[in-house]
Amino acid sequence: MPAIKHKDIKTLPIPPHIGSVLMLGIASQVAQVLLLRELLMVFHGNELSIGLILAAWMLWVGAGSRLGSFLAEKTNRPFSFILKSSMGIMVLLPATIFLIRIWRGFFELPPGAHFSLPEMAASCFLLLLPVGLLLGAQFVFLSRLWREYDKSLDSSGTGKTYVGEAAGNMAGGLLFTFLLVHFLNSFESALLMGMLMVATAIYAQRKKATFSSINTGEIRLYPPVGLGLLILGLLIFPLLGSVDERAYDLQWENFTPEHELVETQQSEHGAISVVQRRDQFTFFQSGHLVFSTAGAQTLAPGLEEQDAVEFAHMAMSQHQDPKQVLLIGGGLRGLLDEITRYPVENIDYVEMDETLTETARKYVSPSTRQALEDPRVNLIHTDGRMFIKSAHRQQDFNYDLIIVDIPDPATAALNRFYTKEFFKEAKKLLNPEGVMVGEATSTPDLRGTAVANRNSTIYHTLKSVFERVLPAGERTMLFFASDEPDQITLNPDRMQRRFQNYDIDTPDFSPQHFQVLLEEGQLRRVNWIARTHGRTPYAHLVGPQVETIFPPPVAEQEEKEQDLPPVEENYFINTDFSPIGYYYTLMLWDELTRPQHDQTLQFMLQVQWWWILPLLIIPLLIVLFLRLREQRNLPNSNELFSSVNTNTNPQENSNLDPERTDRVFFRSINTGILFTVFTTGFSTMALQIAVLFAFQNIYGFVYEMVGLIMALFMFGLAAGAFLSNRYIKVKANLKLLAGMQLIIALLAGTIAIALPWSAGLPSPTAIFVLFATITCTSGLINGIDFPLSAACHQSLHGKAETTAGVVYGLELAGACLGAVAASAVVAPVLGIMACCFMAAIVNFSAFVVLLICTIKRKVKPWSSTETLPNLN
Amino acid sequence: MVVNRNSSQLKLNRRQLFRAGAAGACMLCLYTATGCSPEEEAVDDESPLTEESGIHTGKKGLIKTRRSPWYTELSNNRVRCELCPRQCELEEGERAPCRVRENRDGSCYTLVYGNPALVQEDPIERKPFFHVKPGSRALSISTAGCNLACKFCEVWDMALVKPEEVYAYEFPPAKILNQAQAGAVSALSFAFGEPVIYYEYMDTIAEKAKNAGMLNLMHTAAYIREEPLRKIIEKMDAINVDLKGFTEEFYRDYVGGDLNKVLENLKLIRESNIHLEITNIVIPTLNDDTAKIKEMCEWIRDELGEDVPLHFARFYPLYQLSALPRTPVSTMEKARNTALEVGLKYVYLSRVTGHEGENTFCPDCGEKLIDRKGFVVEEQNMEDNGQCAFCGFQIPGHWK
Repeated sequence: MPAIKHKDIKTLPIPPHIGSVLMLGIASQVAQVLLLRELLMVFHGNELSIGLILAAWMLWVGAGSRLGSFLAEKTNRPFSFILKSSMGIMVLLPATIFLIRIWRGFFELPPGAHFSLPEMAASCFLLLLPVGLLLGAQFVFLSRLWREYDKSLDSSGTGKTYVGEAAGNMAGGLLFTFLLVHFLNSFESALLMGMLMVATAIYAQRKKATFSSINTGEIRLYPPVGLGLLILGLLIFPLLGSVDERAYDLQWENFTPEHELVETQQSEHGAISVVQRRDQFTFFQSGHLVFSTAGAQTLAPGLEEQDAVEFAHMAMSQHQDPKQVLLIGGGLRGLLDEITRYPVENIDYVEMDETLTETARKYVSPSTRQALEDPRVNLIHTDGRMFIKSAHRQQDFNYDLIIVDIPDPATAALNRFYTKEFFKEAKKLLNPEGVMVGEATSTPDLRGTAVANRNSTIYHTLKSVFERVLPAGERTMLFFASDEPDQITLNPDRMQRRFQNYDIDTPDFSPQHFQVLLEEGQLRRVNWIARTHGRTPYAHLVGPQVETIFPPPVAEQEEKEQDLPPVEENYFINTDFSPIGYYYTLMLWDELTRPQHDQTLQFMLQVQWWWILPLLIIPLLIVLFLRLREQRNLPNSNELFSSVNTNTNPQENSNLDPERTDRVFFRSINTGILFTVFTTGFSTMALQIAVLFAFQNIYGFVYEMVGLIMALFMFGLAAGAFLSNRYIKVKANLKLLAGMQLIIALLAGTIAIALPWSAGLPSPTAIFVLFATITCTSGLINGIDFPLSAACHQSLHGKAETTAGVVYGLELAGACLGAVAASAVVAPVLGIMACCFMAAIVNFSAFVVLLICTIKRKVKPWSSTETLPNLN
Repeated sequence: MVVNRNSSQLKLNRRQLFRAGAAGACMLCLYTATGCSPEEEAVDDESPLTEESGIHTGKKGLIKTRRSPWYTELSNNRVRCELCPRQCELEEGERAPCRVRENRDGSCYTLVYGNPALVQEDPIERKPFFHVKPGSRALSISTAGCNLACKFCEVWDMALVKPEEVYAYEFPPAKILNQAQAGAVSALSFAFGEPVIYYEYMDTIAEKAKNAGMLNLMHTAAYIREEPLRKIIEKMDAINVDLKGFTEEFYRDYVGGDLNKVLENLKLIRESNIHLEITNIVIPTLNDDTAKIKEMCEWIRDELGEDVPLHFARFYPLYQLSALPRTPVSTMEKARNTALEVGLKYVYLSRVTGHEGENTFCPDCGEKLIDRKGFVVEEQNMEDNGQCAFCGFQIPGHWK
């Protein structure tokens, strides 16, 4: 049969196994999202785990592709493997989900205790192994099938499979977000995906006899088994509802034993769980304890919800006579009940999750329910940050009091409520004498480095926006901020008088409470640390220095504060783009879960931007060294890549016979290409994380939007790979690859500058369009890049499946490392811009490395009797 | 192209050399990077205590040592500490699990003699002591370290860390006394941390305080051996013991100690007739079983007496149990009612500010004798010697 020349094909041929390719993409994406949501529950919503989960996923998919390439070279029955692996996924994916639900039982964790960092890492890597390996291996087999269909010998099959899979990923993301999550539970979605995979695998084989003579007839055993499994799946499907319930019960039994799980709900912001113990109800979101409330049977709800009650009255007594109140979060846990007892005119109460409100409404105490019905209460379901941003344009009044009752900044999304930008935006909504009140977990003496750093940061950040800030509290630190110095106070007598003026009827709070909450010694100590910490270059590493045993009264501390050295802004001012408050909260979690062990996060706090340079310069030097030596020894190695010279080989096949030439001479190029693949994976992931962080901060945390953004990225990726496959004739072109790296580096640098600028854009639509464009573009460029790298690699090594495995796997490995480095360390500690610049530097060094690989000495051209390789 | 073995060997050597150089460069970079943060040095004070060191000096990792009298010498320069039931055997140079004792040259040294991490003045009700000079204030001191490891520790950032990681002040015993006498305090209190592990320091201060006519108060988990306990009780005026739970499993899994030893020590304290109060923290699902609480109250009534004040403290999520919801108030009330039904006369609820369980009632006539909100005393209806102002019933305590 004559060789089919690529340029002869006018239309894109659709191979019979295209269904499997798309299905791989769909199932991969759905599986990833399902497993991510389930694992996030186990880890109580700890965002650090997201980096670990993605890393583990990519590692195993990458390893699977390497494994697959090894197997693909050896086997003659690719279809059978695809069917077998699909069947494996159909069984293993639901099984993994079940295992995740009961996972906590394997650890000796006391109830209410969190997983520590090593436990989280080990769990992610163990749980994602089976499914990851299978999905990764399937990719290689499918690319082989495509290559056979094309009857080509190069890596274009890989490129096309890449496109198909990316398209499938996009479809899967959309499918899950808009369809599956609303109608099916996790087990049902998982089984459905598996069943579809098996079905498409069986269907894909239907034409096998006509398309390649390599397959033998032994495949025939499997369709019956496959069909049988499908039927079994259909039979089991109806039972999955109760499997899901049982699995949740088991999960919560391990987490909070003897608390009855009364309800679970899926919301767009995470899974909601309600547990009950006697008359107390506790609400969890993604496994994270959000709040507890009194129930209908509680006789004294004000005592049960004491911390909320105390907070409410402390806050309300900070203002002379508040009429307009804005409450962000917290209303359900008892704040609203108390605030409505005051003679206020209007309470705007903002809650992010409508599902949570409606779920909680069923269980809260009658007085809270009554408060929700109060005509003065205006319940607004929207993201609090978005509300603050847009309110001053939409309403004509300002607030006297803004109370922010949000959980600790344990995630990047929560951190948005503790940043300088947020405080500035909130201040615009305050009357000139208005007061802002916030809170965060604390310890009585602020002794630990993490908690002292974190709370001192909140204080300094507030102080950079407001004239006067007063911290107070033991287990919880309250922050009172105002531009009117005389408005706020820590004097219990004064607060008592204000409270008594109102003549409020509240059974579980009395004026004397103020004396208890504002004990003089405690106030002085807490103020001292909050104000004095963070003013030396190493304060964040060393912890608070408490030179004075008996700090002076708070008034004196305030007076002397301006004489203190300035605050170290990099480490003690929390901003949207430098979310150090989030990092300190992670550090606190690390301290609490692994006491007396080396604190990894505390160590990583020392990271500096130039730490990455040695890691980049060393490969650069290696490649330079190798290249120069190759040039010196072998003048003929110039002629390796025809695109550099005149030979326009239309087949884009390698002009090199691997069996003839000593592999030694391509070591530099090989290293260069591998380095490029790794760094592209790394930097793309780092860039994506930076963009996601920024998007979250600026646009607002809208859970389902993230799915859409990922889909856009995949779309760009698919488009880029498609364009690259179709229009770039000669892909094995080092200089072109180098050029791509430079383009990626420039894109990363542009994004670094564009992101903070975009914060100033007035309309949310404009912001969304910008982010969509950025995401799509970076996907596009990444998509163009992959087939180029694959082609370059393949022309050195000759074996298409090896290339598929190595290149795909290495890119995933780089992405794995990029995910962890960016999300856990670089973005929080050094900031989002630093993250983008890191991506830029990394790709720039790849650019330089590839340029080095094209160094050549001027010598006589080699003999023109180069022949095409003989690979049949 | 000739590729002979010689050149490949040469290449191998060069490659190795290159790799080694690269590795070395990496190490150098990391070293300089990590070496950029300042190192804290522990200050070791082996010289005899000078009573005149300034009281406002302090630094992170301040360590003040003194040879402890509580150990036995073993072979090979090893020592066995005899302070608490763990009886740790330490090799030379080894640090004990409580973090503040060390074997130096065959002797056991305490690292916390004169370097408290916590020095503060507080109302006496905070310790909590409800039957000792209500409304008065005490000077509390505590150092780093603890010989237990409760998963619900409230002062973990002081007690469950090494003294090298904590900011401490230089405060020899005499200066502590001066400080107490200068302030408006009538008592010294060894609380917030675990006084057992800074025994020697406490001992000296207590001696001086007693001679100066001040009260000595102690709040401990009582995980200590008999002999040192006996000796220190002689100098104390009141003691509050944390009876954290009433099952051996709880003590083993969540506290790291031994229940029976604590119970023995409670009986010992009772025999000595100093004023005793007991605190029990009620943690949901872990130790809030009503039957067990009843058992505990019965034991207290039978072995210690029905007039030992018992404080039930409400648990709030923290430390290693930060995802466990707080104790429902109904559980707290159930515990208190159980205790009262069993026959204990003075049962309090702690950390439920405003609850009537914070007040002292006369067991005889039922009138409210002391009205408290948290640690603030609002009203007292008692005579100076501790008698009920309405019926004359003698309330146990140290009223002075």
